[in-house]
This record gives sequence, structure tokens and C-alpha cells, in this order.
Amino acid sequence: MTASAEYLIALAGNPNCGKTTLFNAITGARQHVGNYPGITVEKKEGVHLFNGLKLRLVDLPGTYSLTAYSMEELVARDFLALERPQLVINIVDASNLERNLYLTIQILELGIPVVLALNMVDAAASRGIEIDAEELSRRLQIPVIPTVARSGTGKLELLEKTAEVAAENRSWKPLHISYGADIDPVLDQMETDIAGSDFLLDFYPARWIALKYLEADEQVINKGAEVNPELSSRLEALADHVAEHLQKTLETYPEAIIADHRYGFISAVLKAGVVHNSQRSDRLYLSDQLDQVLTNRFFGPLIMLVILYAVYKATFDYSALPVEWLNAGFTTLSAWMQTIIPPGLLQSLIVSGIIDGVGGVLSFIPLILFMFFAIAFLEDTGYLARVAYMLDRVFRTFGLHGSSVMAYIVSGGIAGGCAVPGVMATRTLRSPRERLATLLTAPFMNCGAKLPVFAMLIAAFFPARHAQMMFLLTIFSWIAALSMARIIRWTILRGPSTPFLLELPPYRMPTLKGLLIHTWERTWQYIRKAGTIILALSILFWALMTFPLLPDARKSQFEADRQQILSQLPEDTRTSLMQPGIAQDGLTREIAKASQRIRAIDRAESEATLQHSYAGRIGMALETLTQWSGFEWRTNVALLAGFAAKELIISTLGTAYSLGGADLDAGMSLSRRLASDPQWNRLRAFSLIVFIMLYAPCLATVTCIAKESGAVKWALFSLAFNTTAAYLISAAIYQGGLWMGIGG
Amino acid sequence: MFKNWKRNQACPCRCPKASESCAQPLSNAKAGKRFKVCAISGGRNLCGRMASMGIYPGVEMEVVCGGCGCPCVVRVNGGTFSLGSGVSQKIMVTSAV
Repeated sequence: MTASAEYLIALAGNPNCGKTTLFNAITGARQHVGNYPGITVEKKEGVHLFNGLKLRLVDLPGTYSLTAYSMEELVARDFLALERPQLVINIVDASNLERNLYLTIQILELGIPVVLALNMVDAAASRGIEIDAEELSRRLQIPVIPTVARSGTGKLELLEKTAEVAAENRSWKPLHISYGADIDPVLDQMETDIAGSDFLLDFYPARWIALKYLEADEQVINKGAEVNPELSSRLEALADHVAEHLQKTLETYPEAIIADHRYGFISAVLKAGVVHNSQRSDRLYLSDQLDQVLTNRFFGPLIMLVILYAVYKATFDYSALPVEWLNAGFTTLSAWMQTIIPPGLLQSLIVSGIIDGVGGVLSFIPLILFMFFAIAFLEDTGYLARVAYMLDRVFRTFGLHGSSVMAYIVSGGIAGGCAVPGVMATRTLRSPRERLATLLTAPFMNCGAKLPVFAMLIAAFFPARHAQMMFLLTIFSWIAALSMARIIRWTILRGPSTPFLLELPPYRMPTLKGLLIHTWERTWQYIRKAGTIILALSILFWALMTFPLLPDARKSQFEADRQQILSQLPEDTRTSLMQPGIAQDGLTREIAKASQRIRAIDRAESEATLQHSYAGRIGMALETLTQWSGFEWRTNVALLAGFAAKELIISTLGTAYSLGGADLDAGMSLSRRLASDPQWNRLRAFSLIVFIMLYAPCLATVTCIAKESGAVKWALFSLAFNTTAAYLISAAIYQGGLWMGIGG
Repeated sequence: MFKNWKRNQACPCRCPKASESCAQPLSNAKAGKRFKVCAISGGRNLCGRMASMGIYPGVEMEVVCGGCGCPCVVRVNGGTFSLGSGVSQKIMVTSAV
């Protein structure tokens, strides 16, 4: 054994057994969170150096079994079979030993060396449960180490034992359990058949494969059919025969018999002296008492509303200041860049393309940080499971899951959220169809970037009803999101609702370390992945709005106009007037007037440039289509820019209407401009509001959708679907309004 | 005669029609009472999945909240589970003595 020996070690256990807490306690911040390829189950890896040994630890997702009932179980099993770790640290909750050992038995049946971490012995002791670890170790013939992951008790012994067992480099020795007179003979026969033919044996022991055939495990059977179709169908026939026989004679499934014998084995292991239970099992503990209030039929939903609102408020309030700092930082950076780089394409690229684009994304970071912290807190305390439980019935009607509520609220269910953390919040959803439907519809909510546009349009066209309109829009977005989810679940994500089956873990105080690690890891993932893609796309958008440049003839025309005004002024004021952002006071009235005229020409040039660019051309080409919703090319360009970031809608609309984009009160002057424009009216404004609410999510969100759903096609789908829905609905509103004679 | 003996000896997942006392699905069970699972009728997959969570024929559970419209809540051994109506309709229980 060399000093640089490296061992691969998997951490396995039931959900909520303290597995991740133990993982954090061992690896600290030296961990890496990624996704398993193609799916969204998080894969956590960490390295721990112990006495010169390098332990590479992988935190498997929490599972109840190793049969492929869920994505998590599949991932855990594949990892064990394909990566073949040296050993598994199996974490079991000491206060619920019987059920936790069910997984242990299955790992032992696979044959991997196991070290059992008997976790939360303190909590068990407070419930009157004492476990004789030595006796348990003797009966299971594996090392058993009592631990308390939260405080780190037993961590060192666990690592010592782990290093010791890993160094032995044992081969896999499957545990042999008897499954009774009905199953054992077939199991033996299948085992001999498999062992004789080198069938999937690189991955699993023969008896284990046979057992999976009996349990009708689709994944193993499909794999088997690929490797050796003949043997596979023979095994299937045997399994079917047993199932049929059991159904006929005992009216039961093979699964039930297998489970019964496993639990039988477990109770044999635990009986006579391993577990001492000195208290009545039906005593109410603090956690149960809390539940009587928090999930109470009347107070539960009320308290939930308060808590969700508090989370939302805290997330956005606490992040407001850092977001402002970041924005201020980027503004300063832009200003500084403008002074060191001469005006021209390069300056424009760096300032408008790169800094604005990447800055726009990076300024989300505090928001995401706080959102993940809040969600990690709700998740780790165990409250999120209760929220899902209480809301499941409502959301199920729309084909969603109780946990969908978090994503909706964060996305802007309470106006002013952000779809980026909202989409990422869907990670707490376990069922794939419901999760996809949630992350596709969450962007319909009114995020903080849409609000200024709404405020501008409301101020222009519905000045007396600001609050009512905002409330109406919030309700409208909920209705839109829920009904779109229903439509999606009836069509492309068709399929029965995943049965609602959720463990409500006991309430626990989360550890700060765990919260910080989770928050940081998830945020870092966002910075890295979203940052790179968004950089590329924001440069693309900059190019769309910049090229092709205005022809020289028209450029010189604007220049000539400016020169003409300048030539009427005295020599000494000319140069100072040409500088942008010059102070207007202290100038004579005549010069101030000239200055205003020059600015007007500048703005007209910006408008002409925008109209001439690809974006402008696209906007005009789209007019034929968007006139049905009441939008002309200026609006179209603004909406196009809004795809890069919704914040850009106002500034682009400002440019398109020849208003100074840099004016501090751009929103208000635009509002006045639109209100006085004869082409605009309430109907058109409302149609635009609805369109903006529903159309394609911004770039940052789309990037997140691609990442979270694991497929670019869903991101493209959300672009197409949302835009189509927005177009149809706004067109219906506009045409309906015209027909009823509103606006006209 | 022999068949009956066998049934009583090793019948972990009896079907409801055969058994006299499998009176009701869990979805109808009253809150605050203890029940014994006598069958899971929802197909092999559900049966196996429930077993891995510690809910299998023969197990006693306490119904914490039931029949209130939300998914019902049961306490089994040390764990608390919330089961949607789709699931709880398929778990047949009889009141435990």
C-alpha cells in the first residue's frame, strides 16, 4: 500500500437519515456538486485525506431500496454496480432501524463491503431507544459505528474503520437470504442458469440478478435482454411462472413475499438484545406536537402562507442591497470603460454587449444565494415536505405537485420575484413530469424585471388604477401558469400523476455549515454554467442590435445636421458641446437650445441605427404577424431585446421612440410619450402587458431551463410555446377589444 | 384443507376479497386510531415500493390525519409518511387490536 492510495467510497442511506450531514462533516467544503449525466439528480463528490489515504467519497441520493422504483434508486444502484466502490458507508437512522436496514440488506445482497454508521444515536436515546452496536455488528458481520453526524461524534472511528476495511480490498461477498419455499427453488435454478452463462456478471452477482427478475425490475430485464435475449426470456418465463403461481395460491405478489422475508431477516437480527426500547412508542414528541399546529387543518395553511411570504420577502429584501451594489459596480465599470476605450464598435461591444449582458446575469447572484439559503433552510428543517403535503390536493388538480408552489412564488407568484431562482427551485420536486410542467410554467409569473414595464404602461394608460391593475396582473399570471400547466400535462407531458408518497421527516434544526455548503455549491453552479452561455448570447444580441451599421451617407447626413447647428455658435463653445453628458447649466439660452437640438439629432440617429440593424429589420418583418396583437416594429424590437433581459424592454423602446436612453426618468418620459401617441391606446397597452407577461422567458431563465431539465429541447420548447401562447392570447385580447369597440 | 393451512402460514399480501376482516382502504381510515395493513392492491410496483418504506402487510400503523381531503398521514415504526389518495385507496387495513 502506497501513501498515495486512493479509495472510492459511496455513502448510501434512506432519505433524511443524516447522510448528507455526515458527508459534509467528513468532506467539509472540499466537495463538488454536479448532476448525474442526463438527469437532474445531484451528484456530490468530496475528497478526504485520512492518514495519508485519499478517500474519494460520493454521496448517493437517499433511497429506500435498490430496486429501480425511482430515478434516485436507479442512480444509486448504477453507481454501485458500474463504479464498483471499495466500500459503502451505509448510514442508518438509529431511531428507525428496522426500515433503514431494509436498504442495508439489499446492499449486502449485492456483496459490497459495508461499514454501517448508526447515526443519530442521541435522538434515538432521547426516544428511549438503545442499540447494542457490538451485538448488531456481530450478527450482521459488518462493522457498526455509532455516530452523531451533526456534532461529528464517531466520525473519526468511522473513518478509521473505513480506511481499514477499504485497505483489505475485499472481493464482493453477497449475503444469502432465504426467501421461503415458494421462491427459493426458482431463485436457485435461475442462479445456476445465470452463473453458467456469464450474464451481466461483471456488474451484479447471479442471485441478485435472479432476484431482480423476480421483482420485475425493468432496467435489469432490459439490460439482460440486450446481452443475452435467449437466457433473459427464459428467466422472465420462470419469474412469470412464479408470479402466476403465487397469485393463484396465495393471492400475492413475489414482491410481498420477498419484502416479508427481508423484514423477517431483519427482525431476526434485531431480536433478543440488540434494541432496547424503554418508552412507549406512541408518545408524542416535540416534532409531532409541532405538526399538530403546523399541519393543522385550519392554522396549517395560514401559517404556511405567512412562512412562504416571509421567505419571499426575506429573499428579495435582503438581496436588494447587494444586487444594487453589483449593479452600481457594473455601471461604474461601464463608465470607466467608456473613458479608457475610444467611442466606437469596441467600446459598444464591451459596454453594451459584455458588461451589460454578463452584469445582468451576475447581478442575480445575491438573489440566488438568498433563495437557495431559504429553500435549504425549509428543506433541512423538514417544513418543505409539509408544504407539499398541504398543497398537493390543490396543485394536483392542475397536474402539478404540492412542491410546485415554491417555484411559482419565487418566480413572481408574489409580484417581483425572479424566474431564474424559481426554475432552480424545482429541484425539490421529485416526480419528473410534474417538475417539467412546473419549470416550464413558472416563467409566466410576474418577475421583477417585468414590473417596470408594467408600471410604465399602467402609468400611461391606467393612471388611476395602479394597485388594482397590479393585483389583476398577479391573478392573471397565476391563472395563466396553472392552466398552461394543465394543458401541458394533458398534452405533451401526458401521463398519470406520480402517486403522492412522501416521508415527512421529523423537524430538525439545520446545521449552519450544511446550509452554507448547499447554498454556495448551487450558486457556484449557476455562476459557472449560466455565465458562459449568457456571455456568448449577449454578444450575439448586441450584434443583432448593432449590425449592419447605418450607411455612411445617412451617417454623414446626421453629422452634417449637427455641424450646421454648431456652425451657428461661437467657436469656443463648439468642442464642449460635442462632449456627451455635459452640464447644461451655466450655458446661455441660445447654446442650451442648440445643445438640445443636437441631442435630438443624436437620438434620431440611434433610432435610425436601430431600425437599420438586423433587430430592427426583424421587428419590421414581424409587423405583419404582430399587428394582430397591435404591435408595430418599435415594440417588436423592444420585445426582441426583452428576450435577452426583460429589463431591456424599456430602454430599447426608449431608443426606438427617439428618447434619450440614458435619461434617469426614461420610464416616465416614455410613459408620457406613449400616452400622447395617437397610435397607442389602453387596449394596445393591455395587449402588450399580457404579451410581456407570457412570452419567451429571458435568456438567463432559458439557460436554466435547459440545465435543469437536462435537455436543450425543453428550453427551445419553452421559447416557442410561451411565445405562441402569448401571441394567441394577446391577439385574442386585441382583436376582441377592437370588435367590442374599445380602443379602435 | 392444506391450501388453507398454507394461506394462514405464509400469507403476507392477501387480497382483500379473500379475507374477511380487510374491511376498508386506508383512505377511509379514521384519524387517531391504529390499523394493521392486510393487503396492498395496487400492483407489483407499488407493493414493492411501499415495502421498501416499511409499509407491508402485517405492519401496524397509526393514522395521524385521514379523510380530511389532504393526503393522509400515517406513522409507521419511526417514520411519518404522507400518502396521496391514489396510494391510500390501495392499502387495505383492518383496525388493530
